[in-house]
Amino acid sequence: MSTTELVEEGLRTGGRIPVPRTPAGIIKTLIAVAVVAFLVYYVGPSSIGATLLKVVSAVGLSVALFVGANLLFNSAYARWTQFATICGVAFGCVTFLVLDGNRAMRDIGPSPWLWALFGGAAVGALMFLLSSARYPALRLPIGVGGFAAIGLLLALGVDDSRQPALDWAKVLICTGLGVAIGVGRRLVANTSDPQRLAQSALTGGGIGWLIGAWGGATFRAVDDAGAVVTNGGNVGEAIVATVLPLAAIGLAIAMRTPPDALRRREVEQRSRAWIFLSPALLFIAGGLLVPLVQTVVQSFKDPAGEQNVGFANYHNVITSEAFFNKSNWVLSNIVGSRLFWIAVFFVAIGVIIGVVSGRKVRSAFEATPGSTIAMLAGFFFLACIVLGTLRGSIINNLWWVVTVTLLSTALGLGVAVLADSAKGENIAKSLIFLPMAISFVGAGVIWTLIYKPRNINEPQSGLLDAIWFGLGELSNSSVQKWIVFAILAAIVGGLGALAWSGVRSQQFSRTGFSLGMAVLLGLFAILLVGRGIGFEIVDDRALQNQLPPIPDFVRDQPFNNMWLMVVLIWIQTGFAMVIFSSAIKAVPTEFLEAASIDGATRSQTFWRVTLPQLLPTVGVVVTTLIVAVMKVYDVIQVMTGGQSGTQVIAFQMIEQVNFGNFGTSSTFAALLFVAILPVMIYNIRNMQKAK
Amino acid sequence: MSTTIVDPSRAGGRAYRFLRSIPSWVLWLLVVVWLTPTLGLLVNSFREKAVQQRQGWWNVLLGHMEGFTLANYRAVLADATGNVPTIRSGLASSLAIALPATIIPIGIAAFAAYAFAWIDFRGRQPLFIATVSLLAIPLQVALVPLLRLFNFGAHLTIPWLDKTITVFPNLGLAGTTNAVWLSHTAFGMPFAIFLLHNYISSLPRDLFEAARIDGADHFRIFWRLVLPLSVPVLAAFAIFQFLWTWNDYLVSNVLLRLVGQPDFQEFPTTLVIAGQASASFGASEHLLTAGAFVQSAIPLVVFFLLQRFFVRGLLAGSVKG
Repeated sequence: MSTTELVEEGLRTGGRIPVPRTPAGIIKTLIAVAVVAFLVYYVGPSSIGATLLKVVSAVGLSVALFVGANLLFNSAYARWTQFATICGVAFGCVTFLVLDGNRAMRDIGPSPWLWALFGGAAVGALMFLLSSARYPALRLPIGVGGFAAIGLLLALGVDDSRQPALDWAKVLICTGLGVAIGVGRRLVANTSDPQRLAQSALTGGGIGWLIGAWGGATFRAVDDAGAVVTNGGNVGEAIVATVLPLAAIGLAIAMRTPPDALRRREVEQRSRAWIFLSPALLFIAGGLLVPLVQTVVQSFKDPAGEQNVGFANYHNVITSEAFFNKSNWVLSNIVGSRLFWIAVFFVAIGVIIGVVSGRKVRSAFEATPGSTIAMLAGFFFLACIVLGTLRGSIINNLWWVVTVTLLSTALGLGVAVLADSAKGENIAKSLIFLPMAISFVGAGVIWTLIYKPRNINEPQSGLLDAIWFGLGELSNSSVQKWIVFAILAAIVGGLGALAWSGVRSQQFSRTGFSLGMAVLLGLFAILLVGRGIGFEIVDDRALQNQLPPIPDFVRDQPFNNMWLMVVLIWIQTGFAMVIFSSAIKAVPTEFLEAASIDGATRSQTFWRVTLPQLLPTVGVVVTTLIVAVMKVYDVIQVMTGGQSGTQVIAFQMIEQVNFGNFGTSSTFAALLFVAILPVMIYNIRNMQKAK
Repeated sequence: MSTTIVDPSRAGGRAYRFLRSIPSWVLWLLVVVWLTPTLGLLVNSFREKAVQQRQGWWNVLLGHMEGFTLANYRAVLADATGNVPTIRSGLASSLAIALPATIIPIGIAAFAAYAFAWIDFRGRQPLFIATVSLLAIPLQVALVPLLRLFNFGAHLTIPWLDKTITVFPNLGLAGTTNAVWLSHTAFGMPFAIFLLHNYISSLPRDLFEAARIDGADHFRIFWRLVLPLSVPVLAAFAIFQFLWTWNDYLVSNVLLRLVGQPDFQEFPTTLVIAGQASASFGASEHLLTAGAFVQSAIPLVVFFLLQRFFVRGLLAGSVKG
């Protein structure tokens, strides 16, 4: 939906960069100019200049390569000779450059470009002759002779230390293999034309010979003292290793007739896709795929990355206390906690609402919004108590995924619904969205201001502890606490009335919500005037020692994890909100009108009409969030450094790199990858379905 | 069908109006909660060390306007003394990472997205799905091999023949910003291709057919037609990638800090601030706020100026449509 909107804008503007005309646009432009000017002035023009130069040259180079390749392949159809010649020059240059770069060629001057020049000229000339030969009879001698000549150039150019001492067994085996592969490929493709078969045999044999001769050979090696360890070969062997196979390949190429128009068109068409794709695929392969495979391989090796250790790394990781620890897992720890009973309370409310609503439709249980939400909340609290009792990085990871995904999605959906067509919608949304622009490091610093405790004899500068102390003062006051109690009691009364109205109008969700809120607020009010909540500033040293410690939100285990999750929720809610907001706007208005004509209330419309339309979007948001949360690392690194039981898998992975245990570190990375796999497969199946 | 549902809350106009306004009150309450932490950072970055520690920042809202100073910013933005990374060198490095990592992938990904959308070749669909499925890969799995690649180059040993070929020479990239932006370019590629493909493939088919009839080939269509029409989505991607690379901590941490001889001059702002946060808590704690604000100011400016593109990019990149 949003893509079409973008496309419309693209078609409208047609690539012109819009000039700001409105006052707001001009102010924005001025701000941008000011920021850029400040950066240039402050960082220093020379440093920015160097960066820009890097960017410009990299972009220029890649654009030149891209345009060049396209122009080259444009000419494949109409000017085959030119195309073949340029390809030859490029191929020759690159081959000789690579050989010289690996110090395989004789030293003929200060520049490696000299060999590249020779190679390019030689191969280019050969391709020119071969592709422009008018008479088929001439192709054979040109092909064989030309390739042999290039082989000779190579053999003579090879550095003395790189002349191969041939191992004939390897040469023959590789040649045989090459021939077999070449012929086999043709046979599999069901070609029995003898000329084609001969070509493939020659090409395969030639390549096999090259690999066997050069790869299987021993070269001259000299130890530090200058004594010869192994003997190399001589020029003759180099010639045998190069001239013969190249002549064979040349013969194979010359046997083919020059490509006709159809074939040339095909070359042009087929190669085009790969010109467009290859830069991106190169980066993906080099930066993602190959490293991924290496990581998996590495995870089966020892710290130095040499010996294979089988599953030892996995065994060590999975059995370690830091990974999974169930020593606190005792029934009394769970049943004894307040959170457990709150969870049970919510589940019970959910069940009651469901059963009562079910009576209306004559079934045992009906999943109304109220019962669903209450039970969801109950199960979430239950998950928190279970995951807070079991410890270890895998449990923490799970906890992060459950909490952040659930709460960000719920909050994002909530804000999107609340903001929809409200006054100041855009401002509210962009303020909720703002943390998306802040780095995890910045967020860590920001939230330290909220969480950091100070000594008990000082005023608290962390917001949460300050609130806690404020509550303490309130509890110990004589008059104020009763005023607050009265206000709370009034609210509880109001909620009670709301609950009663829900019962009368048979809207049991409303009853459930109000009752739940009333119970929580009532508990709070009774605690406030009864036992007391919070702390007060205490100067008396003796008294300080008797008091329980001040809440330290990032250190008090295990719920410090939840306070860290709050930071990520703060960041990710904006993301969920933006996606939901656009999905809500895309719900067809006819549906909403039909619902309101049928007399549905706003909440009924939302739960019965809008929400079902949003379900696919919920899937998108949840999968995206799971992927993002699974690899959480920065927040923990910045806020606790992995201390106080806040380790997660991604954190342990980096920690092991720090220790130099590349094997174990790769094991953690591989585990992370395995954990993501289901989401990946789900995404792939979705995509296949979409096509 | 007309069933009249009696809603008691509709009785009594004022109470009803009050109930109706509750959602917007909740919304603005959430907005305030969401804004509070950032506001705290902003306020504290302008206050003296002693005041920061003695009073919570919210006291300013209650009228305690004391201890305001620009000294934190002056200290943070000052020149380096000794071999410690500063915000100044950090900003230079962040730019040296974020600018190439933003601009270079744009073209590369646009080429690929065009090929996936409009060039017919064998294996197009599987290759596209394979590319995009890499979106979900946690980049942690690639970091250690990349660190080794930049440290030692890549060498391939052919089994049996026992010869080692250098696939990627050791160019001395380890510990430099070049290593970081190269990695970001690779990491950003799947998302870039996905986003741009979504856009380019929904350009109207008539455009392409008309161009084809006029004799334009793929190259010319891409250059003259697709690229200019794609400016909005290219901008959206650029904002994304800029925010992501500017704010990144993980990749820089591994590729710059975990090398043998880390060069502090190459550290981006995120590393500088995280280092200050963990190293010298107490002594320069009060400077962190100013540092974090300078670090966040640039993405915030980008965010506010170009939010429209950012939001649309987010939508085009996640919602299929």
